[in-house]
Amino acid sequence: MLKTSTRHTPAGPVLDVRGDLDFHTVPEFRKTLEGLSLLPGQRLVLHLAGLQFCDSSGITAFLVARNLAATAGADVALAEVPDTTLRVLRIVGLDQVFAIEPAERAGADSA
Amino acid sequence: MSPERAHPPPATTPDALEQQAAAVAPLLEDSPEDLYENAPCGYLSTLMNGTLAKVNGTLLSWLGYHREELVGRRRFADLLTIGGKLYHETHFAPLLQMQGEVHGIAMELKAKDGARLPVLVTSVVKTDAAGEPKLIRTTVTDARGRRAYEQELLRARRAAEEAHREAERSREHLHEVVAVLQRSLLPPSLPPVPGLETAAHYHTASPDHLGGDFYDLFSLGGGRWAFCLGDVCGKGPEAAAVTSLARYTLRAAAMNDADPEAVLQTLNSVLYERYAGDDPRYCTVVFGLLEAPGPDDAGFDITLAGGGHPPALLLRDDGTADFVHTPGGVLIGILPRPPLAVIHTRLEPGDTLVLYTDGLTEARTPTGRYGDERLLAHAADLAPSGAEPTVKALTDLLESFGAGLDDDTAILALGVPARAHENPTSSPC
Repeated sequence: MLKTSTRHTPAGPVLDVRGDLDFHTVPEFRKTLEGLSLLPGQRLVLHLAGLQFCDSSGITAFLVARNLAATAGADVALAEVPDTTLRVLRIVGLDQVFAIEPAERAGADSA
Repeated sequence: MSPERAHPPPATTPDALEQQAAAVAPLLEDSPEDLYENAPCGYLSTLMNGTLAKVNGTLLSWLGYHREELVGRRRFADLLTIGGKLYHETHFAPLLQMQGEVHGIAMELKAKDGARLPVLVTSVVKTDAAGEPKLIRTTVTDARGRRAYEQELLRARRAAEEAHREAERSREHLHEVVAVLQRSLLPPSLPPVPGLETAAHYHTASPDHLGGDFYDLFSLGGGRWAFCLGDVCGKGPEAAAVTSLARYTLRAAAMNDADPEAVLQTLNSVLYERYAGDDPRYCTVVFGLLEAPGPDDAGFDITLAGGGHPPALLLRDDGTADFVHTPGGVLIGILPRPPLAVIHTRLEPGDTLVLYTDGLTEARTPTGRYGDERLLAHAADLAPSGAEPTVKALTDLLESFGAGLDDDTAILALGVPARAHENPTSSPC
């Protein structure tokens, strides 16, 4: 099960991700990502506090988000990443690739 | 316009009813006798001893007999096939005697020319005022249509069974193809490395899908060997194509320049160029170089480069176990030039290095994912342990996960035999 909702802020969209990011839910998640409007210089935030489970399909989805953002001239950040997912991100080295925000974004700072 | 409007409206008044009856009267049978003779089903009456007493024209025409050939001369059972006669004797007649009536029994009548006519038979015993049985009245319905329907059902069932067998054969064929391709992604056997024990295991999560895990071990000449183990994202033919590409790129790159970081950068360039865009294909890899220092030294120097792969395990001769981290390495194929972690370590006699994919640590157990901590504790319990028994123990562990293991898992172990079990001069490379 996956639930997403989008908030728009001046700095860019915040996508709230709750539930599981796995083989079954990632296609739907990709559609949501592709439907986002991103302007150059904005930052897309994936808010992951409600993420229950994330496997390699989920990691691929983060990379898709990164590529989509790059195409739009925008940036992407992961916020409030649960410990288990953060551990996986560290193993695959993606903690160096994604800006990781500890809590709700305060401003539109860059990575 | 509804179809009913095409017919005359139903009669509603007594006058109208009378008119309607007068209109259809000429169309109706002019006598009950005509109805009996030419009814759309066969009628026959037999005496209680079975002798035919009366047969209608419809049945006579079906069977090709003249009335005088049957009435008073033959019994009902004489019209049945041999199987039908037997059934009549053993079931039909006793049931009729017991119940006074039998309904819709499927039988075959034999026509005069020997042709068989499938029919449904219903018989009723007629009794006199005292309740004594006097006569058996039988109707015979032509069941050729029904027989054809039954045969069609049977044919359809056979066709469905054949289709099912065909699907099973296709599935078996798919399994064979998947198994052959899967084997092609792995070395058929690990080459012997003097002074080193090696063992590997590949767990296939599903016979229907190609997995994306791989490992390899090959000679670079001059007493140097390369080994690798990796995990391509995704499953299926697309992942398998990347797996194949990754394995052969690693081999070719290592032949050119065996420096582990250079090898992984080459693989990264190949994947990054090929799979950029909205369908990222990447892999996590550990690539290592084994060098035997010299004929007097039983150990191996190891250079290990990691691209986003879970840490290797080192089971030491002294009974301890540790992760060999390659921190900071980023998975291969997503950045133009990823940072890669390179570390140096040594395998002493009695030490075993274990590489694995995350199917092992991500396996679901009743108390959550198996995880790094439990794996490390298990390794410490095993140590000291050679390559073969370590892989055996981890294979048993994978089996113990049962349905909790839903990902492919590769394991590769490299161990230097302990001194007590090895002649120290027997391992020149």
